[in-house]
Amino acid sequence: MRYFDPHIHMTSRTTDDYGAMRQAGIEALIEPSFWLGQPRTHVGTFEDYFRSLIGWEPFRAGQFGIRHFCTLSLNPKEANNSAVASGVFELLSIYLQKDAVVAVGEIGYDEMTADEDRYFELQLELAQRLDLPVLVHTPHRDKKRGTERSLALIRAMGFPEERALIDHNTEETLPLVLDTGCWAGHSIYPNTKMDESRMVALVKRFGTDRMIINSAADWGVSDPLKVPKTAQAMRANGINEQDIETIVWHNPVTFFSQSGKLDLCTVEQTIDHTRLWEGNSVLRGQTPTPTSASPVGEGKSLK
Amino acid sequence: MIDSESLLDLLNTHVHAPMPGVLHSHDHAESRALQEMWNEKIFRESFAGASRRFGRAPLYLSDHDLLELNRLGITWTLAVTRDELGRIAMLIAAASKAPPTMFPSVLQRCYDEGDTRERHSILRALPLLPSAERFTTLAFEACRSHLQPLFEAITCDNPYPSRYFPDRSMNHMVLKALSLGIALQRIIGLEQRTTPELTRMAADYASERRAAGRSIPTDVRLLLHP
Repeated sequence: MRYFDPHIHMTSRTTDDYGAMRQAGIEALIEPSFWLGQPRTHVGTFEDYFRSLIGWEPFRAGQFGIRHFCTLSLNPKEANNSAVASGVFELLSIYLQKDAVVAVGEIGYDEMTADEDRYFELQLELAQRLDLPVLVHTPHRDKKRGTERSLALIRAMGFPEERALIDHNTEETLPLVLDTGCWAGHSIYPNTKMDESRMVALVKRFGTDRMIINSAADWGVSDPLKVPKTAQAMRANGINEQDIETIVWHNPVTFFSQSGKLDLCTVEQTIDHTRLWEGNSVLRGQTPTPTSASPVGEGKSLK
Repeated sequence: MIDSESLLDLLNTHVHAPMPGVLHSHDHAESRALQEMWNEKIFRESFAGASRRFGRAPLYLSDHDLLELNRLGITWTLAVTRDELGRIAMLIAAASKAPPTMFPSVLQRCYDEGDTRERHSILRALPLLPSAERFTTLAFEACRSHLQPLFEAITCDNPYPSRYFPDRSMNHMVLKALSLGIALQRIIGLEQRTTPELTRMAADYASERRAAGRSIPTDVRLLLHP
């Protein structure tokens, strides 16, 4: 089965991870911009981070036959850093135009401060102006309240709910999200957030409609194979293949296709590693010559 | 020197290059800023969003267009997709619209903040820009890229390096192309730029490969016996 991991921070991962992910059937992923573990002190470091998410990281993923998309934003935690927040927000109207940027995100709340409110609102407005969906992070602390407040803000702003994906849900927040038109993401972690067996129970109880899972793997203890592992747990617990495929492929594809930029035809193509990037090599008519550096054998099919 | 106006006319029959700040003013809220003929931020936004506007489909040029391009001195493949051609046209237009002293920094900015597709178009546009020798720094940077498509965009089917690169940059570019397995015949003007120093570098490279028991690209011969 093919898998889509719609939330994973590959910048923090190794080439071994990319190899294992491809081996496990992950064909496409989305890397949301986020907090890098320690506060950034310059707008320029954000900008270079954005550039690597639209340039170098997709190239790295492509070498393993994985299509890489991203979402960009000022993240909730750093919305509180007044030294950089407005400068980063200024950059977004340019970077959100890029081909591989399929949503505004992660936005939302961390501590639910006034600054977080302000940038959450501004970024919802920007998403509407640029016709992009949003990926909403829900906080680690006071999660239920944070989720309620996020849903309330989305509704108050008149942001189309079917274009909002509320992430990192738990047993307590999921019913709130499903009561709206928003989509529900679940981050399957080794120790925190959500695990495989709880996720199986949620699917059995709530079904597959608007349900999405991801690994959210980053620089902390996390596992980039959680999407296929959770699918395996679903399979072992009698959830049928069609439902699993809805959750691990069709749902994220449907949601992010609302950007008009989730160009998956390149995923369907046969890999030719001299054209790994966007199929936009300058090779025309000439016989492509493989490079020895590529970890993917020439002509290896993605299917 | 390319006749920019005739080229732009030709390109515009395929992709209408928006004049930043004029044609698309109704799309933007910042209408006041738009009253000026040139607005850098709006140009950068349109340049970034060009794939959505022009589409990413393959570009088909008629025999007539190819002849016309030839007449204008463009004998190489200019672009392969519609958005690539669109962006090239935007840059040629911007080179005449933007204040002349500002254009180089705008171009550098677009390159720096561009994704691979945008950067690719910029590198393809370089030989068509007025006073193209101003942009060698940007071209050198592309030669240092680990993203092969970017390296190929400047190296292959592009007259820029052979026209403007000094020997050392030219030589290193050719050696890198060899090591990446790129066919050297794709480097425009290589014959004229093959120097004794490049021949020596190629011979040393072949010797290093031989000593390590590795294969030697057949194209080395083109440099050993120019």
